[in-house]
Amino acid sequence: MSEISLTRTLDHLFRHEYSKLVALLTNRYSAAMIDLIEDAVQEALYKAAKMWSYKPMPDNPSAWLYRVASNQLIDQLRREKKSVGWEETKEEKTEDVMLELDEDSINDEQLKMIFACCHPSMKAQEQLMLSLKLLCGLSVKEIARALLKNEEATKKAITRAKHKFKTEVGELKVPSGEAIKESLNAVMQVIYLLFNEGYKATEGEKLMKNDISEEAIRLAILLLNEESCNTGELNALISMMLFKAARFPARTDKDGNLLTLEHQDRSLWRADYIQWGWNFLQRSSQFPKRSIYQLEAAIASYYSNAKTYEDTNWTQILRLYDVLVIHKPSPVVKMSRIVVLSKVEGAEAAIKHLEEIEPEVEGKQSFEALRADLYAQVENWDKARFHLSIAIRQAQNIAERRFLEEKLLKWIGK
Amino acid sequence: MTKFLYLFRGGDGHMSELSPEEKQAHMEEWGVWMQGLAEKGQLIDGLPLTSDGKQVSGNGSVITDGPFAEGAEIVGGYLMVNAETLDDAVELSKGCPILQAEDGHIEVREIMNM
Repeated sequence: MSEISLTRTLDHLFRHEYSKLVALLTNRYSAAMIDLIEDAVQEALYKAAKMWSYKPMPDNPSAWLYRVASNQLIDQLRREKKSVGWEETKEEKTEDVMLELDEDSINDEQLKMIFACCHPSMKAQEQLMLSLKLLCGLSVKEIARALLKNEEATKKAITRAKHKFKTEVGELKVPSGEAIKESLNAVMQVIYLLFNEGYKATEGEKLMKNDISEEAIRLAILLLNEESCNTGELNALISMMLFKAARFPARTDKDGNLLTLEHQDRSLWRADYIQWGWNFLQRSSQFPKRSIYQLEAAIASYYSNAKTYEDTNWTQILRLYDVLVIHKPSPVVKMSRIVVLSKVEGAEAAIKHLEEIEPEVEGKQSFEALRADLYAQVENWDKARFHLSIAIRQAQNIAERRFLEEKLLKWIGK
Repeated sequence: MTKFLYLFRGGDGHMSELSPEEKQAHMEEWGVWMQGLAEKGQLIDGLPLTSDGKQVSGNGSVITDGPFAEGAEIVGGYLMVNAETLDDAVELSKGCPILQAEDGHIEVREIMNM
C-alpha cells in the first residue's frame, strides 16, 4: 500500500517515538497525567540518546523506549506516593503490555490521541498547538519557531490547552456513531491548518516548515486506518496536501529566496507525491459525497499536471474555482480565483473583479501584492508601484519582503 | 599503540533540554564520531554512566549517596581508544560532540601498559 511506504520515508525516529509513546501511555494511564507522561518519555529518549551514542540501537528501539518510559513513569508515581493498590496493578501490567506493542494497536492509540488533541473544548489555535506538541513531538521552542510566535506566549497557550486536555478529555476514544462526523471535521480542519502552517512561505525555518506539512500528511494517513474516518473528504484532503507538498523542493532557490509557481523548476517536483496525490483523488471520487477538499485537490492536480507554467489549464481551474468560491467564499479563495481569472480573461477584467471584493480583503498584504501585479500587467506603473509599496510595508517576514522589494526595484523607472 | 581513557564530563544538562528531534541529531553526531574511531581501529570500548552512585570510604564503613557534584563535574561516560601518543589521543578527542555543550569537557588519560 502506498500509505506504508509514504510513512516510512518520514525519517524522524525520536520525534515519532515521542508521539507514539505519549499516545500509548496516555491511553494506558490517563489524560490527566499528561505532564508526568511527557516527562517520562523525554527521560527515556534522553537515556536512549546517551546509550545509543555509544552502542548501536537495539533491534526494537520502540520496545526499549516503551519499557524505559513506563518504568520511569511508575517510579515517578511511586515517588509521588499515589495509592498503593492502584500502583501495583499498573506495575504488574507493564510486562503484559510489552506484548501488545504491535503496529495496529499503536495506530489505534495514536488515532484516539488525535481526537483527544482536537477535543471540542479547545479553540482551534489550542488544538493546533497541542497537536504539534503531542502528536508531532515538537518542543515548545520548535512550535514557536514554526508558527513565528513568541516562545513565552506559545508556552502559555500550550499550558492552557493542556489544562483542558487534563480536565475535559476523560477517556481516550474514537467517537462513534453520529459524533464521529463532527469530530472528524474538526480533526480534518486541524490537519489542514497544520499543513498550511507548514506550507506558508516564511523565512529561515524552511526545514521545520516542511516537517510540519509532512506531519499533517502522516496524521491524515493514520486516520485512514479507522474505517469510520475513511471518507471521500479525508482522501481528498490527503490528495490535496500531497499535490502541494510535491512542490516543496522547488519552492525556494539555493539562497532561500521564494520562487513562485511560475519560476519553479518543475523537474524538482516530487513525482512520487504527485502519483500518490492522483491515487487519493481517485479514491475520493469513489465516495458518493462531493466535498470542498475534493475541489481543492482537483485544482492542485491541474497545477501539478502542467508541464510548464504556460501549459496550465487555466480555463479548467477557473471553472473549479467558480464552484469553490460558492461553497467556500473566503478572501483567500476569492483572491486565488481572481489570479486564475486574470489568466483567462485578462488583467483588465481581473482588476474589476478585485475592486468588487476590496471591502472584504482590504489591508491584506496578499491583496495589495496581487493588485500591484495586475496593474503591472496593464502597464499602469504608478498604481502598480503604489500598491506594491503598501504590500512591502505589510510583509510579515523577511523572505516575503525581500521578494517584493526585488520586484519593486525592477519596476522603478518604468 | 598505547591505550587511552576519555572521561566525559558535563554536557548532560544541555542534552536533557533538547527536543526529541535534537536529541536524535545529537545521538547521530556521536554515532558518526564513534564510527570514525571504530573504522580506524582506534575504538576499544566505552559506555555512558548514570548520575546515580555511592561513595565508599573509611575502610568501607562510610557510604554516602551519589556523586552529587555539579553537572559539569560528573563523569557521564568513558571511552577507551588506541592512539600513538597522548597528543594524538587529544587530537582525536576534538571531534567529540560533547564539546559542543558549553560545560562539556573531556579528560584524556594514558592507561599504564602492564
